[in-house]
Formats: sequence, structure tokens, C-alpha cells
Amino acid sequence: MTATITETDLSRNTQARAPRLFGTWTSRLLALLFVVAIFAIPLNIADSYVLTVLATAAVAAIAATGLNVLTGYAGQISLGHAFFVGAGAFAGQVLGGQLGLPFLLWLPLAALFAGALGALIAPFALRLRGPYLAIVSLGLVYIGIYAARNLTPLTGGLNGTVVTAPVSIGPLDFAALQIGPFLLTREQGMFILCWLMLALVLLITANIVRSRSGRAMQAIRDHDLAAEVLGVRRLPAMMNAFVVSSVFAGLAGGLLGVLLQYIRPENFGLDLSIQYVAIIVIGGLASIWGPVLGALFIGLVPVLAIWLAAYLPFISRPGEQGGVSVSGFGLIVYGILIVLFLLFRRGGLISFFRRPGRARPASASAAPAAASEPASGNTTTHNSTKEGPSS
Amino acid sequence: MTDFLQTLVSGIALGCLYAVLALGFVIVARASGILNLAQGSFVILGGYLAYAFVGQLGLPFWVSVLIAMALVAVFAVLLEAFVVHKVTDHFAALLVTFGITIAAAPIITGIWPGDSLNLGDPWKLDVLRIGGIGITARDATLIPITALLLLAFFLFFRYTRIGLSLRATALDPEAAMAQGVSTRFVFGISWAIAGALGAFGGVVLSTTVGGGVRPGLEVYAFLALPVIILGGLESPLGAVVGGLIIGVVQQFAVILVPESWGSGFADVVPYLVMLIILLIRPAGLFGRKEVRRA
Amino acid sequence: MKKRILGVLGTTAAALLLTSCAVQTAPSGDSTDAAAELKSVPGFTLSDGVIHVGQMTALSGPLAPSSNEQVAGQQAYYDIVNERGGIAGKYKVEVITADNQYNPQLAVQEYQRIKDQVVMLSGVLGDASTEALMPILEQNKAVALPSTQSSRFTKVANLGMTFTSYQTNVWNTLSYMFEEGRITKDSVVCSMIQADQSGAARQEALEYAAEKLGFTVGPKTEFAPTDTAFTAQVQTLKNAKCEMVIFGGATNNVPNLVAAATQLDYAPIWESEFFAIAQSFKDTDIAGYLKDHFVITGLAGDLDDTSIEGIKLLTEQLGTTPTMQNVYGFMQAITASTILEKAVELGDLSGVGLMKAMDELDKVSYLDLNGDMIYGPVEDRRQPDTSSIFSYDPAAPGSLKALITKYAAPEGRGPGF
Repeated sequence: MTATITETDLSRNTQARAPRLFGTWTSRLLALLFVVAIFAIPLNIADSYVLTVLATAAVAAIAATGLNVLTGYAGQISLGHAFFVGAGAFAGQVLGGQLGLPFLLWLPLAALFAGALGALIAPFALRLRGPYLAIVSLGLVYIGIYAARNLTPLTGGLNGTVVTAPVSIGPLDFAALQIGPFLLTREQGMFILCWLMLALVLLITANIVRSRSGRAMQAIRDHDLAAEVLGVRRLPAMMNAFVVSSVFAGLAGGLLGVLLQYIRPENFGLDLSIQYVAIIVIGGLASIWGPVLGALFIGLVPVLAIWLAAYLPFISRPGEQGGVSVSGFGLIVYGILIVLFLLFRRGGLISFFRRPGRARPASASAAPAAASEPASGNTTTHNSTKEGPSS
Repeated sequence: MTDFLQTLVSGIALGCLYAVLALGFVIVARASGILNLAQGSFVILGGYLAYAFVGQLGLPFWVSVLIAMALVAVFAVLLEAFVVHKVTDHFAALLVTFGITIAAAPIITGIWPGDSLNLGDPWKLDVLRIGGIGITARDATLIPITALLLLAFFLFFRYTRIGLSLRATALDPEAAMAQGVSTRFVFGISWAIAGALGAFGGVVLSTTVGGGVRPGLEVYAFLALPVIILGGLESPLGAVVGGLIIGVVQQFAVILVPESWGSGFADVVPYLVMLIILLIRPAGLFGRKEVRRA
Repeated sequence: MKKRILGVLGTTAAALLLTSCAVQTAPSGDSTDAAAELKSVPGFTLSDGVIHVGQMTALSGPLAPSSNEQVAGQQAYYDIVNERGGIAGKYKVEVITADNQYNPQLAVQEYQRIKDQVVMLSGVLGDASTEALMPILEQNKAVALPSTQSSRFTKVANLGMTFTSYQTNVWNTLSYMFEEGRITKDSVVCSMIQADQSGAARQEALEYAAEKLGFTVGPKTEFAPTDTAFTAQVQTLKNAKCEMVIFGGATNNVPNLVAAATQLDYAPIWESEFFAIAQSFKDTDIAGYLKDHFVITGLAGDLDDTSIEGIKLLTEQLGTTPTMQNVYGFMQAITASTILEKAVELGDLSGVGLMKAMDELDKVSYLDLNGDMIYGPVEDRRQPDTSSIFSYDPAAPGSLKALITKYAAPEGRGPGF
């Protein structure tokens, strides 16, 4: 048993000095390519549908990253993530749309509002475990919908509200971006905005995970009694995870509002929560890029379904009864993918990009095995004794 | 007074429906230790199969219901054996079972399209009138059936060998195996019962007169989630008591809650009741406090 | 090897960044040339001669069967138009459908997918979806026809309405029932509605009618779309001795409602819209209750009454008796085609051109299926003021038997209805 301790992530993560963020040339180059792509893609694709799907995927990735901090790194199941996203979305509209605050004020404030809610709820929620936490967090979603439906002056009530919050930073209005002689469409501008925000969120997450509180979360997740014996207290570590998770959710909510320009209480329900859970599981728990891959994958399922529908006989044409509709087909694909991934590829999509775990000397400063990702706070494929969060 | 009694009776009937839905979750939680969101697929599959036998094959109502329950039980067992069993942790199991429900619903509604397919139940619009109170014949059947189910569960777990095996496996799988209890068998039975219960629930949900099986039926299973937390995830008694509490409170809430509290309050009532109970008893009314070992 | 791959990727990225082939130089000016020369626009290519219109509806989920009937109804009218050679005898119409699953956020995404393939949306199902699309329709100067009876969208310049509003339907029905003596000044009329805008619209009409006709308004009870037990609401209504109840529910609520009413032995007159009545009810036991106690507002008249021009054409086109949902879709297609005809006449099929066409039209007529929708400049637009009122009859086509067709309350339409 002791011989394997040097190989586990626990020992690597309790080193006094955390590995550097962009330790290798590869990771630096990839990060640079990522940023370049954020601009190159919209400048070359005008199809507003593709751009909107991708921008929505970015926002979903932001929310999923938040959930990943809570579930992947801190080990807490939550089905209530949609509540915080909704809180951020409606707060964003109140602050940015109704009160007219500028973008650089209303978005962070909306995110912080969601974070404050997270801080309030966390002490109660963290007393529960496993299915209890899952269902209580689900209750949060329904309470949130009830509140949103009835706070009509703030949220537009049952039918929701158009979102008019501004998206400009100084002279740059992302809804009508003008770079030199070029005029970008709203979809192009929003694509850039959402993916830039995602890049920022990923950077922050990578730093959190490498930091002391991040290591505390993972320690509690893996062996909470042992960690407490070592002096890592559960409640503060989990509180941090909860708050960070809610802040990111609120941020995603605010962006979702301005991206879709319309929000409605019903849309922040169980389906959305499950979608985020599916994203992080399919993408790869406790990895930085996992949520991004997962969000792209899940976001493309409906597109795939529409494309496949033309070739499949049992898909019904509009106007006729019977058969499976295109979106019904999308749901079937979605459900089957979730099942397949969980059965056969527990590491998620990210595991396709990683080398199989092998023994690494404990003294390695920048883990070369994780060189394919810019952030090195990841764990490699999970040991079979510890899969997913404790319950 | 009659109003009060009428609301109470309606609440009890609703509560029995919740109890039936909740029992399916409870029995799987006891056996496999997971929250089985595939229960939703059992509900919708049971309803539609019953319709298929009644509406398309012309079999009598109760025969169709029993066959549907049996078929869904088989489906549940197969599901457990080939899919759920391979998933080792609770979180993944939750997701996998949810994935199954998501995928199953459009397939089922695709095979049997239509917005409401009539099941042809025997209760029709018959109403039992006692004192000044009316109880629909369906509710009048449902309440004793739920009581019987509870009794059956109790006797089953307490006095039969299989029931004993189930309890033993839930407590300590290794010790139970050492005693010759087959965990595969235990899981199989539990899931079969859950499947049958889900199917029965689906039939009940679809037999409001003039109603029928319809898309979206699988979501009704999730109505039972606050019930099981309230009652304690692994307690059948908790499921029934919890169901009754929530059913009654919900019905009274609709009558008593002033308009100023806003709309849709009845939807959150189950969760609010659940939260309140959890504050007092974190494991639910009849749940066991978790023993944690290092 | 890895370095090489990265190098290639890097160069490609830089190249893409520099070429930026998908941007336009600002500002892209719209030529305001009002020549009668028709130009190609998104959704219409002059060389092709086909006008594409979009249909945003719920192709999956519980509303799918009725939405599919609406789609079929729309297609029937376009087929009639195409048989005559198309719009203005020259341009055929083709429909592209999009599935919003009755979810407004999906509506936005789906609209993005089809917006460059269509000149307008000839149907958008769901008030919430329409609201969700409004900002983007506004930004793209695009025209859409909401598939709704709500009065919310009548004064929006780029939205084209077709149907009588919820308010007018309720008002007309109450007026008719009063005329027929089925309710009187001494009656108590109540409501059982959802807490949304359509519910509020019905309540508004109820209160207006009470003012005008002199009866009393009783309790307003509410329910949520997923409620299965209505005994509490019905009990409230029964205790208040409501003789008539305005009901704002859909097909999945009606069975539960009838069950609760039977259980509590309560039999007022229930008023509902036609989309609360499903074909499947007629073989069940609630049919009797519906027949005795329901009054239903809808369109046109008896669905087999081929003396109504629209019904005759629709029946011929479908080859069978239409359903009310077919008629609903058919009428929207009439609105769309009328607008398109005008736009072609004015020589501009772009969004701006279609809006201009709506301004220049004075009305759209519906082949005797319902009253006219008044168009023109936005302030002048008004929904039709007639309603057709039915009783439930399982033997009749669509289970609807017309009591009176195209009835308008003699006191005139209500304020803002």
C-alpha cells in the first residue's frame, strides 16, 4: 500500500510549492491558440446559428466549471445549480436592464449576488450528504422558480422578461462591435465576449485548484476524516467551494441573459441542472478543460440530431403524427450518451487527451504528464477506489 | 366541517398516490443504495403498456395492468443487471438512471403517439358519497390498496426469507453473502418490485377520467422526491407517512393560502415541508442516521 | 511531432485572424430604393422564384399533436396558393419548420438557425416564445405571426396577428349567454385560471362584462399547469355558488377538472377555449359532463359546414373533415399570404418591406372563417371582434357543435381588447 502513495495525487497536491500554471511550452502555445481562436472563429464564420450555439456552449461551460469546483473538486453532489444560474440571470436584468448599470458593474454584482445566496445556503446544505443533498438542492430549484414567478416587478413573473442589460466595456459594445473598418454582428460580438469570459473563468479556476483552498477541497473530497485529522477543516473548505461555484453560476446566468435576450423562470429548472451535471461528467470531473469539452459536446447534440434526422426513417416530418420528433431524437441521443459515457468512459472526454497515469517522482515540479493541458491542477484518471464524489 | 373533511380526504388520496410513487424509490434505495431516477421511465412505460393491452389488444383492464406491471418489472430487472450494476458509485448511478428516463420517454411516446390515450379504467366517474363528502371511486380504491401495500411490505421485510435477505444485504452485503444470500437475487427482486410499483403508479396517474397516458408522465415520478427525503430515504413507512403529510398539506395549502403568497405555491409546498422536517430530523422522519467509518 | 502539429495550428490561426472573411465593412447601408423591381432577400431568390416562410412550433412534447395539425392546416392553404401559381401568380411558397419544444430559449436558437432561410415566420407557437424572439426580430427587422389569441402583440409593428383575443372571446361568450338568458343580473360568475397573461386577460374580460351586464364576479381560483387535483379549487367555486366559470386550462387539465366537479357534485356552466378539448374525450365518461356543462369558443362554425368558404377549401385540400387546429393554421397562412401578396406588389420582400406591406394593408379577410383582422399603421391595428361559440357534442366533427357563428357582442368590443 505504502509504495503507491507517492503515485497518488494526494501526495502531489500537498507539496509546499504548487506546480506552475503554464509550465511547458506546449501549454503556453495551446493557451495562446485558444485566445487566437476566440477571435479567429467569429471573424471567419458568419453563420449566426453556429456562433450562437458555440457562445451558448461557452456560457454553459462557465456554469459547468462552477459546478465542477463543487462536485468534481470538492465532491458535493448538487442538483440545484440552475437556481444560482437563474439568480444571476435575473439579478443581471434587474441591475443592468432596470437600473441601467454598466456592464463592468452589473455582471460582477449579479455573480456576487448568486455567490451571496450560495454562502447563505451552504451551511445548511453541507450538513447533508449524497441523495439527501441532491434532492434538497433540487428543492432549491423549485423554490427559486416559485420566487421568480412571483416577484413579477423584478423578474417579469410567469412569462419572464426580455433582457436589456448593456454589454459594452467602455467604447466596445459587444452587441455591435466595430474593429477598425469592420462591423461585427451581434452574434459575432457575443461569441467573443462569452469565450473571453470563459477563458478568464478557466484561468481563475486553475489558480483556485492549485491554491491552498483548492487542495483542501480535494483532500476533503478524497478522505475527509483523514484530512480533518491533518488539520484541514471541512466546513470552510466546502463553503469556499460552494461560494465559488455559485459565483461562476451567477456569472453564467448574467451572460445567458444577454446572449438569449430573454429569460423565464421555468427555464432554470431540473433539466438545466441535470444538463450541467451531464456536462461535467461527460467532459471529465475534476479537470479544467472537461467542462468545456462537455459543453461543446452537449451543445452539439441537437445540431447532430437535426443533421441525422434527414437520414433516419423513424423521425417524423412536421405536420404528420407519429414517429419521433427531431428534438425527441435529440433527447434520446442525449440520454443514451450519458449512459454510455458513464458505463464505458468514466474519465469523460478529457480522458481521451490524457496519457494513462503512471508513476511520477514526487519531486517533479511541473508535471510533464499533464503537459497537454495548460493548467496542471488536474488529477489523472481516477483510481477505482474513489470514483466521483463521496456520498 | 364537511369542507375540512373533504379537503382532508382529497389530501389523503393524493398522499396515497405520492406514497405509491415514493415506495418505488425507497425499495431500490434500500437494496442498491442509490436514488433511482429511472423510476420515471417505469411510470411512463407502465402506463403506455397498460394502454397498449387495453386499447390495442382489447384485454380487460386489470389483466392489462397486471401484465404491464410484470413487463415493467422485467424491464427494471434487466436494467439493473446490465446497466446500473456496472456503475459503481451513487452519483454516476443517479445520472445513468436519469439518462435512461430521458431516452426512454421520447421512444415510448414515439411508438404510441397522441396527446392523450384513454386507458378505459373501471372507475369512470363513479363517486362514493359518505356524509356530505364525495370520494371518487378511484380514490376509494387507491387508499385501501396503499394501506395493503404498506402492510405487504411490512410483512415481507419482517417475516419472509426474501425480505430478510433484503434487509441483511442492505445492512452488510459481505456478511449477507457469507450467509448464502445472493446479492444478485436481492437486487433483482427489489428492482422488480420497484418496476411494478412504478407501473402501477403510471396507471393510476393515467386513470383520471377522460385522461389517459400522455407525454410528460415520467415527470410525475419526481413529485415523489420530497416525499422520500421527508420520510427517510430507506423507509417504506416513511414513504407512506411522508406522502400522506405532503398530500394533505398541499391540498390545504391550495384552499388556505392567500392570493398574496403568489401562484404556484402548491408546487413548492412539498419541498418546504421537506426542508422543515429536515431541520428537525436530518435523516428524515424514519430514516436511519448514517454511521460513518473511517 | 507535437511541435509540428502545434506549429501548423498556430499558422492557421494567425492566417484566419488576418483574413477575417466573415465580416462586413461598416456601415452596411440599406438601399431605400422603393422600386417595384423585386430583389432577392434571405429566404427568397429571384432566380428560384420560391418564397420561404418559417414555422416555429412545438413539434415534440405534449403540444405536438395539435401543433402538427396547425402545421398541416397552414400547408393546406399554401398548397391552394401554389396551385394558383403562387403569390401574385408567380412565386410559390415553401415552409421551413423549426421546433421550439414550447421553450422560449430554444426558440431563440432555432430562429438563429432558420432566419437566413426565410423571409418571415408565418407562425410562432407560445406567447413566451414570441416574447423571447422580439428583441432579435427587432434587431433583424424581421416579421413574425404569433400563433396566439393574446392581445399583447397587436401593437407591435413587426408582429402580425390573426385571431380574436382571449378577452373578446370571453366577453362575447358572456354577452351571448346573457342574451340567451343562461346567466342573468343575479348570477355569480367566477374564474379558474392560470397565473399568467392569458389568465389575466380572461379575468379582465370577466370583470368588464360584469360591469356592462350587471352580474357579480365571484372568486378567482388559480391552478398550475401540472396540478392533478382540483378539488380545492372546485370546492371554493361551489361554496361561492358560481353559476358559470371561465376556465383557462388545456386538454390535460380538463379530465381532472371534470373528475373533481363530479366528485363534489358541482355543475356550473364552464367556458373554455377550443384547445382545451381533445378528440380523445368523446370515448370517455367525461363526454356526458362536457356535453351538459361546457361552452366552448372557437373559430368558424361546424367543421363539416362546407357552406363556409374556408371550411370547404380546407376540406377539399385535406381530403377529410378538418379539425379546429387545422383551421387555426389555415387562417394564419391566409394572413401570411395576404401580407406577402402586398409586399410583392410593393416590390420588397425584405423585413422592412413586409412591415411596410402590413402598414399599407387595410385588413385581412378569412374566407368567412372569422371576422377581419384590421391592419394598417400599428396604432390602427385591431384583432377581430367575432367569436364562434360551441357546445360539446361527441357526435359532431371535432366534438364541437356550433351554437352561433361569428358572434359579436352588441355592446361592442371592450377597451383595448
